[in-house]
Amino acid sequence: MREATDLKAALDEHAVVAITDPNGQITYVNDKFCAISKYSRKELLRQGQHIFESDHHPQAFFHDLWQKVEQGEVWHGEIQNRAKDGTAYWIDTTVIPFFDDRGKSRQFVAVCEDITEQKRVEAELANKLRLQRLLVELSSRFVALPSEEVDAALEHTLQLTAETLRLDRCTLWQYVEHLHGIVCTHCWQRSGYPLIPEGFSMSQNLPWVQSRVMNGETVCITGTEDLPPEAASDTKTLHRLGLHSKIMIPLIVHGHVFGAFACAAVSVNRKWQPDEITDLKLVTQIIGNVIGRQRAELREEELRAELAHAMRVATLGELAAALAHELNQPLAAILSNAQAALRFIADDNIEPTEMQAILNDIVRDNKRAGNVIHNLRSMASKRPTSREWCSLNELVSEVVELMKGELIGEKIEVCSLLAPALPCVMAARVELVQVLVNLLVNAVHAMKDTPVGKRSLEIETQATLDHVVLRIRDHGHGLPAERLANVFDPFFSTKSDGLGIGLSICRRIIENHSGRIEAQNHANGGACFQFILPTVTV
Amino acid sequence: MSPPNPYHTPDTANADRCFQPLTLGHESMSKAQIQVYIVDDEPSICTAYARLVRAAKMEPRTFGSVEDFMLSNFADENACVVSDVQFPGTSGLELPLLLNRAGRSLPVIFVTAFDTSETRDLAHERGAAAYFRKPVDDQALLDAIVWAVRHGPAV
Repeated sequence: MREATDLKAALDEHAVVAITDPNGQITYVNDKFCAISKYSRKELLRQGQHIFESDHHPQAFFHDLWQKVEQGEVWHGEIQNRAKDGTAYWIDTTVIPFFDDRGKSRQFVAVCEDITEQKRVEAELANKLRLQRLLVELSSRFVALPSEEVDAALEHTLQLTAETLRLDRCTLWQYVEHLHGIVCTHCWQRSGYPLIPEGFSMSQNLPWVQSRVMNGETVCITGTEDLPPEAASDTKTLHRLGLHSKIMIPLIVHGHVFGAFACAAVSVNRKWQPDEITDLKLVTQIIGNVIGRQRAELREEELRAELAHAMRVATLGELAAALAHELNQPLAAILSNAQAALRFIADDNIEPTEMQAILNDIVRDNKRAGNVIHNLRSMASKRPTSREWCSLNELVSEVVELMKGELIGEKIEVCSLLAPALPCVMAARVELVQVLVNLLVNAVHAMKDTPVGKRSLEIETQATLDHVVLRIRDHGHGLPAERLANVFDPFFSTKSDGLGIGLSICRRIIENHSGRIEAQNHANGGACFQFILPTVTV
Repeated sequence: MSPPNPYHTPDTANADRCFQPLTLGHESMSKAQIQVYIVDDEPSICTAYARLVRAAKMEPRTFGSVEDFMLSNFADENACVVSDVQFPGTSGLELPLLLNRAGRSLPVIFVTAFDTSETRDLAHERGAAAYFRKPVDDQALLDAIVWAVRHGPAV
């Protein structure tokens, strides 16, 4: 008996202990039980187990427990309970049933160990592991991702981050120059949570947060009470949005802040753990690199377009004399036709058919002049060009017509071998015109030293199964053999006065149309350029 | 009244006031019509000049190249050539030389869309009767034709 008392004292010292009667009503709790549940002994006696129940376990869990012990088996498991103050705690529990002589259950003894801390560490580790897995996945996901898939991947990243950290909303914000503020570009939120309101402006509604973030600081708010008095406007907005906890981390590339990554918990206050913040910053860095790259590509594309435009304008300048000729021809015919008509009328000496013929010619020549101007305008235009179905044969005729003055002036004979019924290509018309003009201008330059009479230019089009080919051959000095491989590189030029950028732009244009361009020397002298474009859009 | 020099610099070439309009008198009406040989590789230009020439009661004939014209049966008397300068083949500037070499005496008027000082000087040097920049005013061209026919080629 003495031994039993000692054993009980030792057990009470070590474990959380409770005893219930066969109906599950508490008949005994030790001090440790009171301490962990935060109830007094008096409050607990005669109570059922349900007063601790958290909603963590399904009903079947406890049903299972009671069934087992009533059948005389020992139950062992981990239970999450709720203390009097509402906080959750975990106990590793063993329930031992005791029976009377007739085999009827007499009492159940629960011996438990507090594992709350262990559970917390476990959860934290699991969380950390999930985050790390996320980071690994993100960094590999964005490697060599085609730019058109970046947006979808970013949104998926937001979703993964939100799900991993159990957040309600994750958003990406990017700085827009003319708005002087950051705007939401990507968003993921749990379904059922309120959307960011229409017309929400970070610079107007959350000025304090925005200025901090654009300064390169991470803004971390658990509750609106965290905000300083000078952020009164921000506090109001957060209240209005029902937003509780928020973290906003600046997107920085090369020391330049260009946006932010934001996470929010809508209805509950959430403490941002230091580890989480570190990991979120890593997520932000990965996103920052991706967007930074995207923005750089965009800028590069803009620069290329500007350069292509500058080249077109430069080419126009080079062709000015020839183009003036192209305009002067129809203008000259129009003037003479009109003046002839005036003279006929003054003499009252004109047949209606003659008058009709004159007017028809005037109309035709006027349209011809208009076309020249239209071509000039589109070449000088800065607008991005839209794609349409273009016939290479038509383009060749048009460009040869446009450059007729130049070609005649240089005594160059043009021989066009255009394939009948050539399929069209989906292309930016003015860009293809630019390529053709460039190749023709190059050919004209290349034949400066060719004796007159041998200056000829062969332009050939051809259709293959799903491509069209255009070939231009001149009878000039050809390309230096050792540089054939890099004629399309920027700044390669055989002309003393050229920048050597024309051909690199040609290649860029052709490649943008999923085609390729090649240069070689013809066996019988002269250079031969050809480009190939798909007739089926991919 | 001494006739004005029809050889103009391009800046004033197309100004109306450079020419005192010459009206064709009854005597020239009764005479055979002036033959005007139009040489231009641009068919629409040939047609337009031909109409103008006909409107002025002269007789046009058109040719697409210097070669075509030289191979044709043309008159020296009461005739004149209105020619473009630039051609895919033989240059218009060769015309005065070719005519000279063939022992023909026919004034040549140039009308060009490529007006450069070299072309102008060369045209002058080779004895062109007049030189115009396209587009050319009707009165200026017709006056130059009449003047050239009256005075013959400048050698």
